[in-house]
Amino acid sequence: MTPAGVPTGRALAVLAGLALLVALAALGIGATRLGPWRLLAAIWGDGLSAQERLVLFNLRLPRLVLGMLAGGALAVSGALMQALFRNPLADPGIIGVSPGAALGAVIAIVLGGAVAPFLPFALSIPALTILFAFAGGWLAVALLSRVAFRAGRTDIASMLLAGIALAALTGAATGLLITVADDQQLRDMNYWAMGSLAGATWARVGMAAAVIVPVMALAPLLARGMNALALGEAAAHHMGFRVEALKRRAILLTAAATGAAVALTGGIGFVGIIVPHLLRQALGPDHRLILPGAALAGGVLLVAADVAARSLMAPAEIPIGILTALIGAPVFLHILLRRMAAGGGIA
Amino acid sequence: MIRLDGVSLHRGSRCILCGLSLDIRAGEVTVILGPNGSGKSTLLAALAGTMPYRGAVRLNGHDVSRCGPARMAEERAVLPQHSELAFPFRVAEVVALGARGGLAGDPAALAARVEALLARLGLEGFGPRNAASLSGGEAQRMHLARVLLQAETGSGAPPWLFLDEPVNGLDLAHQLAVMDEARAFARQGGGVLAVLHDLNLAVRAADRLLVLHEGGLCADGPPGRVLNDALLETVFGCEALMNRIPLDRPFLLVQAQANITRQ
Repeated sequence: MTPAGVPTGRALAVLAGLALLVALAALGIGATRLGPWRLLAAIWGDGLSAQERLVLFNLRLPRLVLGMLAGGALAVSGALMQALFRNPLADPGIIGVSPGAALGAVIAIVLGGAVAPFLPFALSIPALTILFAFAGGWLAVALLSRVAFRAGRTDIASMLLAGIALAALTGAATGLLITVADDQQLRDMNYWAMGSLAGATWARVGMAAAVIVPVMALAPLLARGMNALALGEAAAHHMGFRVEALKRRAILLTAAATGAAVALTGGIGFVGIIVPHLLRQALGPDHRLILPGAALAGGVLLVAADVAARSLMAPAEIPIGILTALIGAPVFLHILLRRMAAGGGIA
Repeated sequence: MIRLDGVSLHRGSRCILCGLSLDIRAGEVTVILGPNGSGKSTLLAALAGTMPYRGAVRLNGHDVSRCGPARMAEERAVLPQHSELAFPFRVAEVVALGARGGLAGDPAALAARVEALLARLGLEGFGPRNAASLSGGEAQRMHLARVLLQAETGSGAPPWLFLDEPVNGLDLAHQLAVMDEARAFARQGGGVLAVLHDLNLAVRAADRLLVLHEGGLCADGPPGRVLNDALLETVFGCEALMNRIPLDRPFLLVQAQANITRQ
């Protein structure tokens, strides 16, 4: 049983059921319709035309898996940031982690071409983009925590201001890089800035999985420490946790997951705030449930949003980042208003 | 046993406690008294392993400066003046956060232990409530239950309870309830070290008083011997009546016309 009274098994079963539903929708809906029975038949390897097989296995399946991975990564990052900064409104996008990662990615996209010929084969441009996005995200969180942590307390106002400065810096640097980018790079950047799962290939899925799956597996190991951190840094220390090490690990995992998600899917915001918020409402705030739950529920939400983005204005595709912002920004305001009503405010 | 040997604490470059050497025994309640700024909480933090110091502190034989947080958490639990809560945990969850060792991995036994502790502290049936909805007194008792659980399940022999101004903001009944719980803990062989402001409460709760003043220990002993009019005037800088009737323990009566002259 979770302390909220929801059996853990049932919560996971519900999430797994939802994952299956959105997976069927993601694989079946589109210009080439594939019903659930035909998808099942495809598993046994028959009943599909060559073109349908191509659509299913080379377009929709990698897109589904990339969506599950990126959504999970963003949600886990959000849950970790919220635990670290002890605030349910800390979202990697809002406090500047994603902008930092985005800056790294843009640098890699624009300048990567110049250095690519000298790089070993394994460091292709997409891999370089992930690496730079990770470095950018890590620098951003490291800077934020320097600003935010004062004598064991979290100074939310300073952190938000630093986040704004980071976002401005990213915007300016991106603008600067746009002036030196060539046409192909401009298309890459533009497409990437809006956030999309459309570029999913198995190669990209592989790169995402290599970073995100370990993060998802390691994050729950921090859960007990994150629970203790909810009582404050001093209390967590008194309860036996190495607070500085805990914070460093949370920052590292967040930077890795956010970096990979941003590098491969672009600017998809608010997943990191919606998913942990909904999970806390349903399951309570215990991070032993929230962290694994976010890995699954984040993917479900992002894939569901992607299905909506593909079908609402078909054949046109709404950039998914726009859709998540349309849902996420009101959720953010809702949480903020409720905290204000409870006398809590942003801090 | 806590053994301090030549312990000095600094705030910036200023020495606020210089060369303190003493033993603090388990099985009794030791209360640290002193005016604001005399280093009471700083001393407690140093002994708890969260404040650097010079000299040597041994807690149950362990060198505090070489102990990691996990080792320290086995030996002592700390109840702070105020506790925060970033997320809406339930009361039972907050208390359960204190559990160590085998109990932490046994949900059924842990739930029963938490329920029993809550009942002992007058919070029966509070387990499923949102901890953020508690009053100040209820929240402090919830956190007391948490640190008692940590002390009980830690491997410290004896376990220690550090209380840093644990009754601030509590009404009289809850002040007494918290300190009575501390006395019960000491009666069972645990060590209790508390920082208090209220002299009368200190007299009621303490077996031994340590009075800090001007960088050192200016009085040490049972309340009946330590507290007197001269100490009040020199340490706290105030004239007040110290009464001993009807008990042999002193009690302080600050009358309306008492002439208070802060130094």
